[in-house]
Amino acid sequence: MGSEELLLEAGKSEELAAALHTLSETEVNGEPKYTPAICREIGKMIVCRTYATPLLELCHLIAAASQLSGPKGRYEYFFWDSGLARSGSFYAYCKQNLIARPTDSLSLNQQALTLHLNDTNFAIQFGRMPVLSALLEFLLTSIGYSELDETLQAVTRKIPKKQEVSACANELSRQLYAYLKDHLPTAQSQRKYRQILAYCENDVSTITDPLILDFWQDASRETDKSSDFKTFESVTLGFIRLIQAVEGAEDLAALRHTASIGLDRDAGEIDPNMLSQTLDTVQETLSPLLKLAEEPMAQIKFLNKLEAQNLEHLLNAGTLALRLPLSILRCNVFAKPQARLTQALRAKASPKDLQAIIAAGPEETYQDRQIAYQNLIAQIQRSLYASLYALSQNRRREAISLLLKLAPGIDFTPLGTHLIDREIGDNVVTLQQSTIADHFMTILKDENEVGADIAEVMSQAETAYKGMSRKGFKEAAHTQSDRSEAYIEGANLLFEISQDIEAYLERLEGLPLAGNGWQAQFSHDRATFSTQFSHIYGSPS
Amino acid sequence: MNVRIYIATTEGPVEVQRITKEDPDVRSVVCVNGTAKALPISRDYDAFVKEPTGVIQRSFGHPAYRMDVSAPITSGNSWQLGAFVAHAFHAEDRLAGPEDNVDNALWLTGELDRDLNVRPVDHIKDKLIASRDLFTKMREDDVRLFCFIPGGPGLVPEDEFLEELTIDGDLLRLESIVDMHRIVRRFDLNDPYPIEEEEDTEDDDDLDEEGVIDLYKQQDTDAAPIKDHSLLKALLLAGAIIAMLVGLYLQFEDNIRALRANGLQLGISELRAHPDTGCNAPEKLPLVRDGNSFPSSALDGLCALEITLNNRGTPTYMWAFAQRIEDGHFLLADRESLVEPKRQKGLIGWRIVLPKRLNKSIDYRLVALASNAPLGDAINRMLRRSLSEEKPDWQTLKAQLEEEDITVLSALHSLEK
Amino acid sequence: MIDPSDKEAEALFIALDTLDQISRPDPDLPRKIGFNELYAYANDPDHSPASDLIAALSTSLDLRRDLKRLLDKQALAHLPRVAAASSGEVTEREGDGFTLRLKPSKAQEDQVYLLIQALDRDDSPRLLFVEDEDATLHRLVIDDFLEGEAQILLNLQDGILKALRNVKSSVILR
Repeated sequence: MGSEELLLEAGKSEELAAALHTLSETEVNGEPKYTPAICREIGKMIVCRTYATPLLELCHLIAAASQLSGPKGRYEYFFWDSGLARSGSFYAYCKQNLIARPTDSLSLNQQALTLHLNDTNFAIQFGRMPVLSALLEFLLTSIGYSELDETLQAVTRKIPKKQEVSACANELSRQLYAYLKDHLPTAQSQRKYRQILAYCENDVSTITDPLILDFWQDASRETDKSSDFKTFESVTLGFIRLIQAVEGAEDLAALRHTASIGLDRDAGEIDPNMLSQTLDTVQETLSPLLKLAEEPMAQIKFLNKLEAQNLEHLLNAGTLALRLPLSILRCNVFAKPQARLTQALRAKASPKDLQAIIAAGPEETYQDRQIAYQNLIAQIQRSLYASLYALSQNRRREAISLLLKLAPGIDFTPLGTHLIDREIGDNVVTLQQSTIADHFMTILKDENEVGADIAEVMSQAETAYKGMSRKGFKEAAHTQSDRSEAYIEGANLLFEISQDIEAYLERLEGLPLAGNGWQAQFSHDRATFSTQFSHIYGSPS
Repeated sequence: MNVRIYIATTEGPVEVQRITKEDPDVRSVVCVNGTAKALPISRDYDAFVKEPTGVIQRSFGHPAYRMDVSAPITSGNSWQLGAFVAHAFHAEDRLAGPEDNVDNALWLTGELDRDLNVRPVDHIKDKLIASRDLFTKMREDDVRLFCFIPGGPGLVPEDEFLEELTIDGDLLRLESIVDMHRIVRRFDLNDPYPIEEEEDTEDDDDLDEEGVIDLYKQQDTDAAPIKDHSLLKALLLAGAIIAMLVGLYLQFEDNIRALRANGLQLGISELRAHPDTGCNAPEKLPLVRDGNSFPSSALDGLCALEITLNNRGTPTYMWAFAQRIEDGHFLLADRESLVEPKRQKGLIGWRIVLPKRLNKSIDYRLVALASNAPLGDAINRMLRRSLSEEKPDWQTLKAQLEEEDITVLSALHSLEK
Repeated sequence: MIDPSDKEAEALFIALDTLDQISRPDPDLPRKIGFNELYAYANDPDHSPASDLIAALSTSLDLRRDLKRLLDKQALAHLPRVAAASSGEVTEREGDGFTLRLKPSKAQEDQVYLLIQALDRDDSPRLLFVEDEDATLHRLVIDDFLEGEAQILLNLQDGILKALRNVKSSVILR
């Protein structure tokens, strides 16, 4: 492939990336219309080409929306006049419109909207509607309204028959396929796969931090402008993806071998759904961050944008962060100056300006970065304590399990006396769990009842809550009962994240370093990166 | 010379830059600075202009106008008084444009009804505060600014507030009005009232009698809006407070006039018998004003009353006395100020010794006088006239004093058995 | 050791890598106009369009075609091309129960009143689009259509006024 073709291909993927970026930036009254998890779902649907079923669902939903609208056929109202893409918004919209304009072709319950076609019924779960609406937004943004609206006429002008909906879905599928054929950078990814695999001599077990650095030093100096491996960040991610892909393939093979579940490797193609599931498994480590942006957790700012960004490299690597700890650290520290260089180059900065950026070096050292991680743990800890306070103020029994998690080592015996059955006269009366919880909530701060340790933890929790000014923590705690589920689920996710960071920091502690210290390692790496940056971005001379 | 009109808003004064007749087919509009952006109040303005709802067409004969203003006016109807007055000046080709030099400017807030009565509006103090810079600018430019606000209980800001804003009654004046008459007369405008209503207003010589409350009422000779920096005239500016009748508490009478321009304020102190020295060295207890009223005084242990005037302005001649409501008898205060007249300022008190053996509750009118001429002769004339009357009539006395350019402050006070 | 021809590993790598590439938050990516934005532009009088939407509408035929289709579908009224007045410029249009009239301002010579009136309809249009002969779409917010009429002041140099006066343009009320 010539460099011109490569550039062309990069441009194509940019168009797709821009369409997905627009999707994630879509707002309703200043709030993101689609959550990050939904946007990721659409991305996965595209790369795994698992859109056939969702498109069939979408066509049914569009047919239903066309029956819901004031003048029939205006399906746009359902998708763009119903607010944020949340199941609750869609439910409210459907209910309101069905009350205003009852129709035989639609019915609804708490879970689903059912479209009564002439020959069959089709239920669409409200929980599915946010993803389907994001899919439609993506289709309209990438392919265009005129073209799609023309196709959708078959299901919007009248109540369609089952096969008309299927035909419409197939046509949409064909249009999307044609679009993706032109815009998915498959060949580029394939080329990367082969290049990395060749470098590690087809053996992913040889991939180490030094190997990645070596590869980058070689590959990034290729004169071809469209090189896939200019940035250290993309190189590291490439190696991580290779290991994940190989391990995923091995898991699939093992599954096939042991389970005899009829998976068949036909002509080397992988089943799209299996691909999608494997992707989910690989990217599971990212999910706590994505889930924190979902309802109900999104009601509470457990992490701000910067904190979430600071965690991405680490969580993206999953368990491989422990295998390639230095590479993750290098990404964290050197990705930013390299991004500045790339931007400066695009802005046609002079060689002198580029050299100044190189000379300035990174904003933080390896020690700074580790302190930043420790600060993140501390911040998470504060959020957990504050959540404990909010839950206790709202008398949620989950406060007790959070308390046990937060302070497993403290003396819980005083609490035990409140857990045993109480005797009233001759009859043993077992307190119901809810009563016990209620009882706890009242005594939790009372040192005489629960002992000094627990009272102290509760006092810390109160201090943490009152010291935070973030959304979800700045309001009076007892008024936050409707956010209790968010505190509970959010706390679980924060624990997972906190454990990942702690494991990573522990791994860094035991690492053999150049010059036996982080300062020396940083100086060494800084020199290496500066030299390499000069090679990549320096003047031809 | 032309006059500049400002419409008061809480965001600051808005100058009426221009009024132009439009094609009768279009609706009247209000635009900012000659731009094509019509303000949201345009519909209300159109209704204010066009008959049958509007008053502008009725008064000035054209159904559609464009009014350009210097800044947005967002909502409400308090722009109506200013807009109407601007139309009145425009009708006589006397409305100043942004580039014109002026000697006089009007600052107005108020809603107008069909009969051109000025209706109360909110946020008068906020609007005054928001105009502070304008007031300074007008003073620097030597432009006399007349502020017109609706009259009515609670609408006129208190003295201290006005003093703080340097509203002195000279270059910067504040008047509350209940209709358009005062402005028409003062600025010699053509009468905008519909002809059939004209007869009703003919007898309207005494505007105060009509309920117009003039905070800084000038003498007739001073009525025209001319350039005049005389300190003497500043002293003559008079104000009024609407009395609130509150049980047995002291009651301010209607239209009490105060020299607010220089901060003249009426007060009362009780002189009560000292436990040891009795009435020889009594204790002085100033009565604390509760809004516009004072508490009544218990007769038990009361030696005397002291009427005080706090003159925070230019030194002036002052004196005080009391009049029993029941029979109109006078109780004169110490007469040093009359015998040896001198201009005074600050807190001055006149002691009124009460008749001994009072055995019933009694109501008094406490009166304070201020003038820029010695008061002795005027008081003598007042007393002489009163001698011939069985029960001297207060309104007559007051009118006679005011005729002699004396500012009269009075209040009713009760002594309770 | 992995067989380089292992299609599953390759497919997984391609999927992961592609997802990384298309999901990267790159600030230098060219911005694409989302349908959400186009819909708001066509329907929401409170929407103030970003400059790149305006730019894209002037350069992208596809986007203009999409907007036109959306408008045609949701229009309250179409006021088609009309015969010119003697001056060659349109001063009045009528269609689907609405009239538009242009009246020069007497007070400000460089301004013109656009008067919109509903003849026998209860609908209140909130946006007016004029499509030029070259398919350019001009947008005007009607922010006080009340009691069957609205009046908007336009500057002589406004593109939309020129378009309204053009005999070859058509108007959509939304």
